[in-house]
Amino acid sequence: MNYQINDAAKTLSITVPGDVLSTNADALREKIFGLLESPAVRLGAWDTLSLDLSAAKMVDSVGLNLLVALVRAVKSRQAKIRAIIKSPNIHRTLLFTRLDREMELVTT
Amino acid sequence: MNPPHLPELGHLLVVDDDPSSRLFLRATLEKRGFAVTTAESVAQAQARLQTGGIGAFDGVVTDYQMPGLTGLDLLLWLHEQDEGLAAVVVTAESEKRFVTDSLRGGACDFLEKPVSAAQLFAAANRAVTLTRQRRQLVETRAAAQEVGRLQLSLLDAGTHSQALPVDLFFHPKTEAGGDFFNRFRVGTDQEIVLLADVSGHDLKAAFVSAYFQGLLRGMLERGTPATEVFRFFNSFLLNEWSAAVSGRRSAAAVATSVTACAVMIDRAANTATVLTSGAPLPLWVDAEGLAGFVGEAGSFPLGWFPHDSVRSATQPLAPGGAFWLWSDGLEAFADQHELGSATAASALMLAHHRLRPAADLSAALDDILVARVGLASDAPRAEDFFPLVVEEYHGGQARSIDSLQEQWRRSLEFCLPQLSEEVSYNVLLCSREAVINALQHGCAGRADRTARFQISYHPAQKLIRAQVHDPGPGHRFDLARHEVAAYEQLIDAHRGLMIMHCMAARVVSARNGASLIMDFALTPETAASPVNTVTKI
Repeated sequence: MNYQINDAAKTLSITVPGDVLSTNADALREKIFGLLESPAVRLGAWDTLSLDLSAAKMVDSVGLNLLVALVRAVKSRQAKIRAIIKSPNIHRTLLFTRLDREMELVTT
Repeated sequence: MNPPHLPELGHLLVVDDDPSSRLFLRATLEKRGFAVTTAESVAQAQARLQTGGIGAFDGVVTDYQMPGLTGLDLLLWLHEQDEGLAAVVVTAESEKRFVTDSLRGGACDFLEKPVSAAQLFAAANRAVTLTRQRRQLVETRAAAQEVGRLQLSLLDAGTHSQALPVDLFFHPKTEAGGDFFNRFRVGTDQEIVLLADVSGHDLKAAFVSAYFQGLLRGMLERGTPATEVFRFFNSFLLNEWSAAVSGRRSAAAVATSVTACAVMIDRAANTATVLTSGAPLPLWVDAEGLAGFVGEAGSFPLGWFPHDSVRSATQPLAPGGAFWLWSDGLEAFADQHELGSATAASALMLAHHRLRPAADLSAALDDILVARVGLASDAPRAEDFFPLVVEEYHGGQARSIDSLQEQWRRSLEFCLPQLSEEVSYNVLLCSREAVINALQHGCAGRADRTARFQISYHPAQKLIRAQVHDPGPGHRFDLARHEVAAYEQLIDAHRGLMIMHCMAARVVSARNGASLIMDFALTPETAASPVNTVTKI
């Protein structure tokens, strides 16, 4: 999983390689939270998590729960989360489930 | 012109401008038993053939190089008149370069000058044999086409002028074959529809098909129960037919077999009884789109074993709905495309109603026959549910949800290629949520518990319906309260139901959610619109 910290923009960018579904959410959760808890990221000077979901074509309810868990984790360090989305269907899903209230949605 | 007489070996036209060569060819061939007509030019040959009729000749032996038109010109002209008439071209050593041209022109053989009597006789014999084979093939094909035309007429007639509306799709693999559909009224309250498939794709299969239908009609009209007709025909195939085909009294091999499925509709008793012998089980699709196979699998085709292998099952009739019957050729077609049989049947029926482009059937391995028999006599045929996905999953399959979903996506795409990505996404995501819930909770993840999952399409109502039925007790759910908890308290739950309620136009649940029906509206642009297709029937 690719990530980078832009100190100037105070942004941690994580790129999700594909869909976020019940069948891969556990593995993704382990990787992303492992990353957030690594010293380099935990001690990094970022206040925005930019989650790149451009490669995803579907996010199901278990995937949404992972996003919710990420929102909570990011909020706990007084940071905000931004989701970069290419699929209009995923955008609709996030609106329907009102996650747009918890994260900034950027469509590409 | 030499008068043709009754030929023993065949009637040949010999064309050569050289009198001595012409005489030699004629004398040699007549001596060997051929009737010979001669011509000294291509123009004269054409006149002879037109006057006598090309069909009166069994072959042509022509010189290549002649004044005016050549032997190649004659070949090309002959090819236009009668492709079956074989020709032998005689060339000189210096004319070898014309051999390729002559081959393209349709020559079947060559002789190089000087020609020996033995060579000439052998070549003439081959030409006559080839001509006769070609003409017999043309006649056989014409006869098969006529049989096929009659079969189609009978099929078409079987769909009209009786109480039950019938939709029929038929794609024959050859000119005539063994698939057939027919229906018979028995008394005032009973009607029997029958779809059967005789092994083979030839005139023999067509003959057995016609014999079976006639027998069935006669016996049913005299009050014989359909089960008895099946048994009688099984015995007939095993004994009389096998003996007739093999020429022996007891044939070890199966000469011909018949798979058949009969649905007997009894209005008075309000039941439908299904008889099967080796045929695919019929699918019952009720007025709400819920589909289920009726009958017991595992029966054998008629003509295989002497013991009774006919399976019977009876179910009460519900108002509306339709029986779908199909031949195993439809199953082979579905396998080719890695689809379920119901998916393939619906795709062909949708194309039949011009609600989808015609499917490419050029690679079909067998005759394909699909019949949809409605129970409501006034129901317009296109205004019922078409089953797109009919599946049953056990609790252990939740982990395979990605591949199941991919199969649904392929089925939707195959049946409704014009479906919008948005509607397709809604159907797939909500179905995924509902099926996971059914398998994990309703079936408790157990392999011995199964849930039914279906997607159907209603063209008139412009909707797609997904439904999931699991054997569990379900659980009470307060959507409004849980929805608020999900987004205000950011808890890791309830989003599956939120998705379903937001993306589906209508959600109906029963048994505390153990039965779930979701309807998805098609926008005017995404609803299947009529397309120009022609269905062979």
